[in-house]
Parts: sequence; C-alpha cells; structure tokens
Amino acid sequence: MSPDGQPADPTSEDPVLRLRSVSKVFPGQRALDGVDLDLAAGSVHALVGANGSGKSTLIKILAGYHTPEPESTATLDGSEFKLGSASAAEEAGMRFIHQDLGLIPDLNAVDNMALTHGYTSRRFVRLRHEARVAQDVLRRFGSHVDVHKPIRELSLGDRSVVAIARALNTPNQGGTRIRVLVLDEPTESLSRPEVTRLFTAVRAVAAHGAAVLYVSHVLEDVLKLADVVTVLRDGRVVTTRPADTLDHDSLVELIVGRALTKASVTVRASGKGVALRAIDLEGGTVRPLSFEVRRGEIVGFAGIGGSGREELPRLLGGGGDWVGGIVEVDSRAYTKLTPRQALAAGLAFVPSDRQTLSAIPSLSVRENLTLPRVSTFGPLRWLSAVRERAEAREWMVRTDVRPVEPDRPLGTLSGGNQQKLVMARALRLEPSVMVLDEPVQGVDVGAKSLIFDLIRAAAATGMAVVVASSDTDDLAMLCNRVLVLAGGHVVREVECDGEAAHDATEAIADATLLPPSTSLRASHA
Amino acid sequence: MSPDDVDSPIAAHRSSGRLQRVRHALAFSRISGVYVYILIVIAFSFWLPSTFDTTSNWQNIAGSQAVTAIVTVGLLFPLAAGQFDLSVGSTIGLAGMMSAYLADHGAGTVSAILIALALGVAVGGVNAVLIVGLRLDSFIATLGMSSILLGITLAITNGQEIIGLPSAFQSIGTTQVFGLPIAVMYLVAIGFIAWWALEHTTFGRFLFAVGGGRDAAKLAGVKTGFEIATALIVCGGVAAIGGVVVTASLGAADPNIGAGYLLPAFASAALGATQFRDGRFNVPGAILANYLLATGVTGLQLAGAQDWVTYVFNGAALVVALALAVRKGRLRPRFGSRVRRIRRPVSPN
Repeated sequence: MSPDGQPADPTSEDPVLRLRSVSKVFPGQRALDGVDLDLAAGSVHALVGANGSGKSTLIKILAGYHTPEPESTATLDGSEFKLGSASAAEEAGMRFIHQDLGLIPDLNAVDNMALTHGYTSRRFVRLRHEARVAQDVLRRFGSHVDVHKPIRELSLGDRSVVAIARALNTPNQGGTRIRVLVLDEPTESLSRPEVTRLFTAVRAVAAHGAAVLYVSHVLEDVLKLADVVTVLRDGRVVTTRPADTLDHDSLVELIVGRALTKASVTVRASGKGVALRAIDLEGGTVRPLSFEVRRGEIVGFAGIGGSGREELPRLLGGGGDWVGGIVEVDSRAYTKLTPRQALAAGLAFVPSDRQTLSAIPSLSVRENLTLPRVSTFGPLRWLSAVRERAEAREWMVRTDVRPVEPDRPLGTLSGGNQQKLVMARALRLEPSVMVLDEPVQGVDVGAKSLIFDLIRAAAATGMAVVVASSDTDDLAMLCNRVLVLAGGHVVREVECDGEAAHDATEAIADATLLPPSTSLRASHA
Repeated sequence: MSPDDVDSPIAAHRSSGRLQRVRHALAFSRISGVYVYILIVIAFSFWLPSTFDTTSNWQNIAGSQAVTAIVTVGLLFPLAAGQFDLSVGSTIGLAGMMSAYLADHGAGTVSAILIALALGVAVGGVNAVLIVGLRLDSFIATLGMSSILLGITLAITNGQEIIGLPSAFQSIGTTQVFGLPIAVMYLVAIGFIAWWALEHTTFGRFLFAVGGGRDAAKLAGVKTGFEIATALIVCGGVAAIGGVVVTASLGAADPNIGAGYLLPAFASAALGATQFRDGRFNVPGAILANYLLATGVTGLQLAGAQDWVTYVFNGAALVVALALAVRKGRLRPRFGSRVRRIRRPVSPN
C-alpha cells in the first residue's frame, strides 16, 4: 500500500517474506493499518519511522507476540505463514534481536545462549565444555567477554554482542536455516568498532540468502547498511525505496512528514560567571579531571566507552563512586555529592537509562515529574493530586509530551515522550547546572530536535548544561564546546560554532580515535 | 515527536468530560470488588435470610475482620516500597502474648499495651536493619524473622495459652461503640491515617517511587533506605496493635494465633491493589478486599460449611481474582511484591 506506488522488491526474485495488509488495533488506537512489506533474500531491508509509527508493533507481530487483525496475511518462501505464533516463527527460521536483548541478567553468557538452543552436551551438562563452545561463538563475533560473568556485569556493548551471537548461532542439527533476521535498534549501545562488527555479521547472514529486517533510529546506520528502506508513519507505509536514492535529510522528511526546521536558537557562551567547576575530580573511570562550565554554556563530553564519558555525569549527579576532587556549583565547593546533595546544590542530573535510572515507569507521568521536588501545601504538607495534575499538564504542553494525560503510567508513553518528560522534570527544578547523559538516545528525529531546542532555550536563560553523548554529530550540533575524554582525561577541546559543525564533528571523532560516524550531516553546516 | 503520536480516538475519549469520568469511576474493571461484594451479600441474604442478613451477623463480621484489616493496612507500607514483610503474623502473636503476659503478671493495662507496641516497632526495626543495613532480601529476612518471633512467643509461656485476662485489659478490645466492636473504630482511625500517609504525603509518594524503581528513586533524591526502614517499622507497629486488640477482645492469648493472619493480609493487599487505583496498593481497596473475603467465608460458614472451607475460599478468591484480572490484560503481576495494572501503551513502540 505504498502511496507512491514504488515496487517493494528491488530484485526480480520472489521475496522470502511477503506481508500483505498487516493491521493491528489496540484499544483506542490503530497501531498498524494495512502494511505491505516484501523482504528479499540476500537483502538488508531497513524499517524506519518515528516513535509510535508502528515499527515495534510490526516486529512483535512477526515475532508472534501480538496477534494481527484477521485480514493480515503472510507468505514465507511462497507458502502461507501464520502470523502471531512465536513457535511458528521460530520453526520457520525467523530470528529476532530485540531492543532489550532478552537476556537474563543473572545468568552468564553460556546459560543465556543455551536458553534458545539448548546445551550442546546431552544428558549431563558439561559446563567447561559449554563455556568453551560459547567462547568460540563469541570470538567469531570478535568478542572476548568473560562467559562466566553474569550478563548484569557486562557492558551494554558486550551484552548486545552476546544477544546477536545467540540469535545468529543456530545449531545446524535442527535443520532450520535462518530465513529472516530481524534486528530492533541493535546499535543503540554499541561503540563504533562494535557497530562495524555487527554490520559485517549482518551482511554475512544476508549473503547466505536470508532476508534481514533492520529497524533503527540511527539513520546513518540505515543508509550505510540497508539495500531497501521502508518508512512507516502512523501505522502505514509511506514509501519503500532503494537506499541509494535517499539521503539523511530526505529520509528525515519522510519520517516526520514535513521539512525539519534547522537549529532555531544559536547560543553563544556569554561572558557570565562560572556555574560549574570540577577540580581534580576522580572516581571510576574518571581520572583527575578539571573543567569549567559557564552560565549559558552547553558543554559536551565525547569519548569512547571507558574514557570516563559514562562515569562523569554520574559523579556530578551523585550516583557515582566519588574518589576525590572538588566540584564547585555557583562557587560553593563540594567534596562529595549524593543525589540529594547534588539536587540541593542546584545540579539536575538526567541519567541515560529511562527504564531503571531516570524515571519510574510504573508511576504516573505527574508523579515522575514532581518526584525530585514534590509540592505540598498547608500546615499538614498535604499533597494534592488535583494541583499536581494541573502543574503536570502545563509542563507536558510546554515540553510537548503526548498524550497530555498526567495520570497515565509513564511506561506507557513512547520513548521520545518519556525522554521529554524526564527533561521537563529537570527543567522544573530550575537548576544552575543541568547534567544530561545521552539525552536523545533512542528517541526519534522529531523528539530529538525538540529536546535540543529545550536544552538551547534553557541555556539561553543562563543555565549551564553538561551533555555526555556517544554521538559526535549530536554534540557538534548542540554544544558550544566539546571536551573529548580518553583514559579519564580531557585530551582535546573543540569549539563548535554553528558554521563549522561538520569540522567539529570530524575533530571530535578524530580525537575520540573513532572514524567519523558519518559525513551525511554535513548538510546541516 | 511527530504530531501523530496521539490518535484522534484518544483525543475524543479525553474530551468527553464528566460523564466519562463517572463511567470510569464506576467501571467494572476498576471496582469489580464492589460489585462482587454486593452480589455476595444479595445471594447470601436470599439464601440465609434468618441468619446472614442480621444485625448481629454484620456486627460479627465487622468486628472479627477488623484486626485482619488493620494488619493489612500496615502491610501496605512495605509492599508499596517493594518489600515483603512475612513476619506480620508472628508479630501479632508476639505482641499479643507479650501484652497478655504483662497484664497477667500485674502490669498496668497502659504499660502492657505500650510495651507490646514497642516490641512490634522493635521487630520492624530489626527487619529494617536486616533489609536496609545488611541488604538482605526482604522475603528471606522476614521469613527467618517470622520463625524467630514464633519461637520467642512460645518461649514466654512455654507454649501455653494465657486465659482470664484482667477486665480492664479486655475492655480495650470488647467495648462497643455505636453498636460496633471498638476494633472497627481502630480500623477506621488507622485506615484514615494510612490513607493520608500513602496518598497525600511526600513520604507515601516516595514509598511508591522506591517500589517502582529503587535506583531511579535514589537518583531523584529519595532517601530510599529511610523509606524502606520506616515502612517496615510502621508495619511492625501496626501488626502489634492488631495483636493487642485481638488478644484483648478474646480475653486470652494463644501463641499460635498469628499464623492465621498472614495469608488473608497478603491476599487482601494484593486483591485490593486491583481495585480503585490502577494496580497500586491502596487502603480502601485493601479494606474492601478484606471484608469481601470475610463476608464470603462467614456466609459459607452460616450455611453449614466446615472450617477448612475458609482456607480454600481465601486461597481460591485470591487466585481467581488475579487470574481474571490478568486475563483481561489489566494486571501484570510481576515477581516480587508489585502487583500493578497498566493500560495498554498508547504507542506500542
């Protein structure tokens, strides 16, 4: 049902998986509306769309988690395939790597990999042998993780490699070949070298004749990897096109359905005083580190995993293992910060992990918004849901959190909306310094530009902003200055003004010893 | 962001105002317990007109169940914070036995009560040290505690009951107010305070935050250890009140009385969470669930059912209620203490 009538299949062969008018209705919402999709053998097919466009629903239908509406049909290798059954999908050779990876945190890599296809030893599980097998498999994906460590203790990057290795490493004895591999946001937490390894693995799967469906927000990755791109909006297919006919900007416009406005406010570091000063700050991967952030300034921190980039926001926000050093906020010095002290000092910290750190999914939107500073009134410190609701509604409108239903559990909002709410929560505290860890990770392009605008507007009022991110393009676009970390120290300082965003991206990427993730964003400069 | 995140049906749903809100408030899925309760009452009233629907029977149900309801209300605090307290039953037994022992050995009524309550608070304190201080899992810590307390309770009288308590002591459990046993008044007072604390104080809000995500709550500035410790202490103290009241109203202390309160308290708390508040532990829900179960049991007993029916009924009611809620997709019981009801996501992505 491509409105522009483009053929879905770039090759002349019959598709491996053919979906016709796949629909899904949730109470009060049509999540998918007559989606047609053809996945060809040997081709990587990307599926992109904003949060809430129906990507995840489609994947969950393929995986058998949701049952589609009755009019939906599918054929696999020419024969009828029943959607909505997990075991049928498994038997037919469909493999899934979900965003949350589906690993069990308390088990180690060996056991997690055995969950899907069993141990190789019969009757009696020979653990040492199993460990060796798992190690070999992981090594094929270039990973040297300790297979005896519980998944919980592995880095996010290592975890996704385990998940990918698990999905791809189907033993042959069962006779099932991988026909369709579906990856849902696989590169979110990966470093660049890990992404490259993943791409190699994905291409290898495709080269063996499987069809790959690749779902991602990271448009650079999509353009680099995919042969064909399908854009979803509001549960419908907007278009399906060969990837080489698209570039970053045209893809963005297809996703949001309108031309994006370019960065609206440019903030120059004003000559105002220093809001945040770190002197020999040390803890975790952060070696003695000193820097200053002025009022109204947006300072980015770049760096690879283990450079101190992940640890620094936590230290500032009071969640890290502080070893030594001093942090001055508004000229008041602190030798240690707990989360409470950080808040009292005027530091608002927005952690990166929405599921466990930055928000509480089971509480309502309004309760999450007011959690760091619950407003009460009267001598009994009465907490009024009515007043809170009114305040929450105001903030939700201001930061464009949708739907504007303050009593909805936060966990039921889309990722982008959750992130906007978490930003609103920090802004509501009117802090002197806002510390943001990966503020736009996993959000769609529309939400991203809105969050950037919020950050710029906050800086314009004199707030100092610290942003840590693994995305060098984002940092170059957003920040006045980017400090590149390596080994816990600042190794390079890059000034970014709007005109030279591309140069800044390159400079930052060079300094982090990574290839520039892309030059496609150059068009923004 | 995409302006299309919101579908028009939902926008329409939201705009239709007061009628919609009333309909929501009375929806079966929200307060199914109320409807089931009414149904049970009507059914038994027709079935047993001479015994069930009588003033004395209602007084009996209200009084006998008040202690369970009080204990359930106390239990809501640790449950809200995501912690189990399996020692509530033994705390009832210990506090009851201690107050009876003191009253029996010439202590004044007031001091007997205060010491018993202090004991309950101390039990909560020890639980807090184990769970917050030593970071033990609450399930294991309070399970062990439960056995220790039962042992101590048995040791006080070497396993014997204490009977024939002084009438001054008994009066705190047997007095009638407005024709109802005084225990009901205790329940109303404790229930009101607990409702206020859980729903309308920062402390209560933080409890639910800790229960929903301890790390996130900590980063938002919540003193998570303090919250959990306070919840456990409140639970211990309230359980002790229950123990004293039940001992006084029976006029005797039985060291084994506590065990019978554990399951009904947990069942009522969990069942109550499916009522009124979208899967969140709440006081009105817990009290409703308590009386719902008790009324059903009483009706069956009046109809001539044997003692064992109580156990089967309580257990079955819990399982069936949860199963129905899960089947409707409204309840997602997670391992651990949280029972929550989450609406389908607006954007399943």
